[in-house]
Amino acid sequence: MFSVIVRYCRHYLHREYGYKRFFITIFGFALGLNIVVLSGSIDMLFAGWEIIGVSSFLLIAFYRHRVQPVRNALRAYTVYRFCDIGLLLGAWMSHLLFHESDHFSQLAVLFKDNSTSPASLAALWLMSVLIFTAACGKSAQFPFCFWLPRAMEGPTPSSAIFYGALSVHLGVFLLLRTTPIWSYHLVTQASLFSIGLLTVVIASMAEKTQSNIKGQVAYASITQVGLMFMELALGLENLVLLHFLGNAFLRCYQLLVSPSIVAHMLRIEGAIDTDNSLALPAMRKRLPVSIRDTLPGVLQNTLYVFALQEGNLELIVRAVFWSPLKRFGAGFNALTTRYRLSLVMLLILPWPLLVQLGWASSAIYAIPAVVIMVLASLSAFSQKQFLWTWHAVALSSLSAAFAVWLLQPGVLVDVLLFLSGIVPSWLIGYWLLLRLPNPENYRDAPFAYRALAEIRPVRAFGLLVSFLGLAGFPITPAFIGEDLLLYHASHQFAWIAGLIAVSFVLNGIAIARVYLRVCMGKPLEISGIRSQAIG
Amino acid sequence: MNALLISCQLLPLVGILLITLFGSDEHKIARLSFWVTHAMGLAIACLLGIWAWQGFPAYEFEWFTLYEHGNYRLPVLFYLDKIGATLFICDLGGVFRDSALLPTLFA
Repeated sequence: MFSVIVRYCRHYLHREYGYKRFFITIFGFALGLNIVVLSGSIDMLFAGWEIIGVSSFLLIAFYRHRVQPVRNALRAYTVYRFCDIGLLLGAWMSHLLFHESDHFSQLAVLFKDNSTSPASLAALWLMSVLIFTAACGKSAQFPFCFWLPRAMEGPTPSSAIFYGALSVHLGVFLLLRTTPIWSYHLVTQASLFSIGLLTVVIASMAEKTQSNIKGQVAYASITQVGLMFMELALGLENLVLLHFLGNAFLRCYQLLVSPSIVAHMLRIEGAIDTDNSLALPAMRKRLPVSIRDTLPGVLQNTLYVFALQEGNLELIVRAVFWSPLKRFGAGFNALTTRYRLSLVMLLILPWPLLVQLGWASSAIYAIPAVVIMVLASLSAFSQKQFLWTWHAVALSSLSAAFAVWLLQPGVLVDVLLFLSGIVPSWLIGYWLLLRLPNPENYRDAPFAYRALAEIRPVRAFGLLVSFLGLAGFPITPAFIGEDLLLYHASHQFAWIAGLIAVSFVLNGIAIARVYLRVCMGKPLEISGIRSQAIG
Repeated sequence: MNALLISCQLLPLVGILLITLFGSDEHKIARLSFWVTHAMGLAIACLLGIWAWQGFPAYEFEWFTLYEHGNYRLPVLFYLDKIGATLFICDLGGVFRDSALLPTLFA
């Protein structure tokens, strides 16, 4: 499939700006995919998963002069990153529950004997929820269906290989790999079936109202993956593999021929007065135009609006997951420095008092560091200024490392390993952000795109590497460090591991936004801002 | 089989490196991509062929330990079974569809 895509791209992207960038990113995707397919444990799978996520993010924002692809890249990355909580905590839980037996090859053996479970039912249920979250995000299943049609803003060949053929099926792949964990109980199987069913209902309706061919193919693909989820819940593993193969090839083909189909339809539209028209298949002539036509008028309209709004899933996800965090962060950012410090002190001071009174162990000293970590992440998540966001993310990571060191002073080496990836990325990124052209204009228009990738491509690449390093992407030791921090934090307080994972996710989204704002856009926009400032 | 598992991981990296270093124009990028993707396809075809020859086993291979400290251990571990093979077949399908490869291979 890669060779087909590469061959197609030679013509499709001929004389296109960013030809080399496209090929490098698509090979990055191939690397991530091969790691995922051949991974022997959840940790390895997570490394490949992250590489695929970032390749996808870069390819959606391939046409970086246009605002919409850049916005949609952030939208897709936000869902990816949010669902990474599932895999990040899933990897941590697999270490915790199965110890040295967290390899995929040993999972089935562990669960073979039905009389003795390797973990408690509650732990398995929690792990199943985490796996489902990761799978739903990657495969655009309920309630995350909305991002896939938006991700089609990238070049058609990348859409074909990512969202038609391979990437969209990775959620199914994860579920197949972890079948012994989530299939242990009927409730988790029923939950998976429900997710698949809801996706099929919403996506098949939304598909009918899509105004572009790629959106239709995207929703058709989501529907098929929803059916695969249902098949998996029913234990039809071999059928899923067959379905998976068929859907991958069909959607890839459909997306690759979609430009030709659009051109053909336009030609027919242009030749409306001639005999050149589309003939309906004989079978279709015998069927009613649509089932919708048999429904009462009010229901027809309701369903039409529901399908047009794609079930309002994006609004719901935003209202439930993002808005509360953003509101809290914005409220914190709106405080003056004195009030901010007072609030931090108020949250920090009671804990040492508890130790002095003998009501808690000295490990509780880590809680103030965790409070700072959470506040810094929330502040970065809702912040508009680049430098503030960059420092807040670094502060959050440093606080996480400090908290784990306070919890377990014996793991200093592991904490330093994490910091060896974070600190250089932070400092290099800070140095690059200080050297942005015309920094005086940035305060006035924090939401404008700065087009650094056009003006200073080498610096933009440096900022990309810093962003990936600070986000714990598998190019620095911080990637292993993240896993280690979660592993050590959970020995004292498991909930701290959860907060650290959430902070990492928020940090990743916050600095991805900084990267997009600084590096994407048209140079023309910058000159516009400059002339406004002069005027 | 182990060498093929490793080469499946390394070939995309080789592709990135070659395009970054030598991809000065469209023709060179297209040529490099063509050969790397086909080398990848060939490595996958051989891997799946040997795997099938051995009776479709669930094959595990630990390359090296990336990090180890106390009870924590992170090995670079590869695993091939029918689930992974299905996804790989998607990769491989294109090689046979791409008719331009066949004369090149048998020339």
